[in-house]
Amino acid sequence: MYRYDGWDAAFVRERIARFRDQVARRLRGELSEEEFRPWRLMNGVYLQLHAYMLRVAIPYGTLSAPQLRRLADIAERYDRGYGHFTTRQNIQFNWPRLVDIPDILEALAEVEMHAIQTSGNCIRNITSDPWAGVAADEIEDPRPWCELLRQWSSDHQEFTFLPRKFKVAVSGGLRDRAAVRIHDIGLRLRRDRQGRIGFEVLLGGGLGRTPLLAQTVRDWIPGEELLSYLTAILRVYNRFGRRDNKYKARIKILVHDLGIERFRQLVDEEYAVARDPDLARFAAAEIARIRPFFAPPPYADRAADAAASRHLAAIDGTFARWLRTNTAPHRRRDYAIVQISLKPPGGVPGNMTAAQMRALADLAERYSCGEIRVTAEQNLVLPHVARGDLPALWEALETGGLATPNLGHLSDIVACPGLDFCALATARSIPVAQAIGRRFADLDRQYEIGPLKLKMSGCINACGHHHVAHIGILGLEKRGRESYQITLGGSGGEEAAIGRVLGPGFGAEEIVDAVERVITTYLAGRRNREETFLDYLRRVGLQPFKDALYASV
Amino acid sequence: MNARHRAGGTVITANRLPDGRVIFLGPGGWSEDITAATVATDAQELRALEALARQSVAVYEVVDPYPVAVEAGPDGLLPVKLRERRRLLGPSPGAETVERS
Ligand code: SF4
Repeated sequence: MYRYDGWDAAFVRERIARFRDQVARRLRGELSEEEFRPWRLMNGVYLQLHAYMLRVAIPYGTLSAPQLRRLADIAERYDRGYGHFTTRQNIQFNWPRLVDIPDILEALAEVEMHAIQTSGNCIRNITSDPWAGVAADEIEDPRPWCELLRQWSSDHQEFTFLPRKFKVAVSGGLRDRAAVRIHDIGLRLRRDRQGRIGFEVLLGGGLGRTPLLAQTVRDWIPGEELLSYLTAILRVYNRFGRRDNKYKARIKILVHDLGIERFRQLVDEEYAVARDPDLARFAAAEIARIRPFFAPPPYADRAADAAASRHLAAIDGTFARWLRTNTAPHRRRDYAIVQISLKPPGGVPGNMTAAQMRALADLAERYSCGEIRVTAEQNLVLPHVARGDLPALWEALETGGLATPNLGHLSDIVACPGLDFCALATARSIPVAQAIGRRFADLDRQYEIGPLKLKMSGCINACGHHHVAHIGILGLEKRGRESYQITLGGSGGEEAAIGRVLGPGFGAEEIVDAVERVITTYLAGRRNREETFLDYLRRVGLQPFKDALYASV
Repeated sequence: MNARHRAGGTVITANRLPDGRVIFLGPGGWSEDITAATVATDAQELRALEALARQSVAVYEVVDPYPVAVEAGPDGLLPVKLRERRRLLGPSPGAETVERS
């Protein structure tokens, strides 16, 4: 894992000291809320529906066991004993007191974590593939590049006051597991014919009220040129992005309005000026310095007992289904990637108690070289588990309530906090997600349905990524009541697509039945079990679903 | 519930500065309990309440006060709007994760 150098540590400490002073001045009344708000947002502090909320970055989704334990301590000492993992590889605490936040930030800094740039119109936490460094299809670990970008974008004077927030995702695999097409900038790591590392640069993706998929602005840029090229993009955005209308301020609108050709031209012109050999030399040297931090851990050779999990699976069906749904191939054949579902039946998607965090930190140390990953689908990953350890790990996860075998299935629901916590929400998400989770709790039924992604958001801002769900649910308010609109056919990652709205919304008491009808329509119409929900939908379109849901209206 | 609460009207809400919690303005000051809130039934009363709230902002007790329309519910005062109701009632039952014992 990356370790702070002297500069990183000093920078974070200095920011905390400054924020401690700002909080003190606010409480003494030397700063008004208007003066204080930008400072608190720069440090990840929001004022939500019921209380302050602190959003902590988990850069590129990588956590160490001591860091997870520290999050548990914070949850217990300063909050209500749990944390909420978001769709952007952050964790949120819902109830911190403003007076405690400088101490919380101090506690985070001790384990090299922070909340900087988790809010505001700046370059936000850089997200990445949760399987980075271990995926079987990986070209190169993207995290050194994410770390380079994190350092470059931290407190970047020129890009601290962009027209709007700015999200960057980096993917290092042949398959995209970082959802690069729904980010302001998506980077796909590639090698050229000479074997040099570079990136395909995608631009202008984002969800919210105007969902758009990113388009390729450049097929390949050499790795060391990346910072200059991104500088050029951000300068074009800083100059031409709209500041008069917050709903039109994201770069996706500018790309859409200018067209990708014209935008590319502007970036190329700027790049000719911004291209900086010193920056390229710095990037190359810095990458060389950072890479060893992400070197593979010293794996023990476990080929001898790798068959243990197969043997147990042959006699224990419960273990077998967990093995099938919650583990994935590791680049080493004697190891596996283990996915931890934070979606138990009736649970709050993405929530984890302090006790679970501690238990998982212990298990990570015992079985996963001390490492944990956080996914954009609000789950966790143990990236380095010897296949021979899977039976013991599974048993321990079961005990901690962390072995729900539903990854990639209907009850693996993504949901934002919605109106239960969020000041911007128009409807609740959590109770609906819980009700759907309960209705479809039967695992055999979920396996019968097959791979399915259901995601929901409590308002048009789409933090729950409902636009890129196979079944998306958007909570709105209609005449003083919660109303839930269904979109179908969205997809993140490979073959990204924006879902289409099915029709008028459903009330809170109708939405679970509506989802049920969507499912039964698919099951009745699919050719066979190999035809997934998405395949079926792409073959038949929305009409059969409309007929099933609205025919009697 | 007093007659004013039964009639409904407007209360002033805000967040308490040091801990962010939701509070309402009443004759005894700010309280987390809406039943202790003063209900303004006309524009003049509301202006007086708003002036009081501004004083609290000026002495750094509260953040962002604003008026909320309320009506009498079965168990006391309830905001009219969905969002404000949720803000008063807190997260739905089960929307927070508790340690399994
Ligand atoms: S989608 Fe809306 S309700 Fe949900 S977290 Fe984002 S802003 Fe809040």
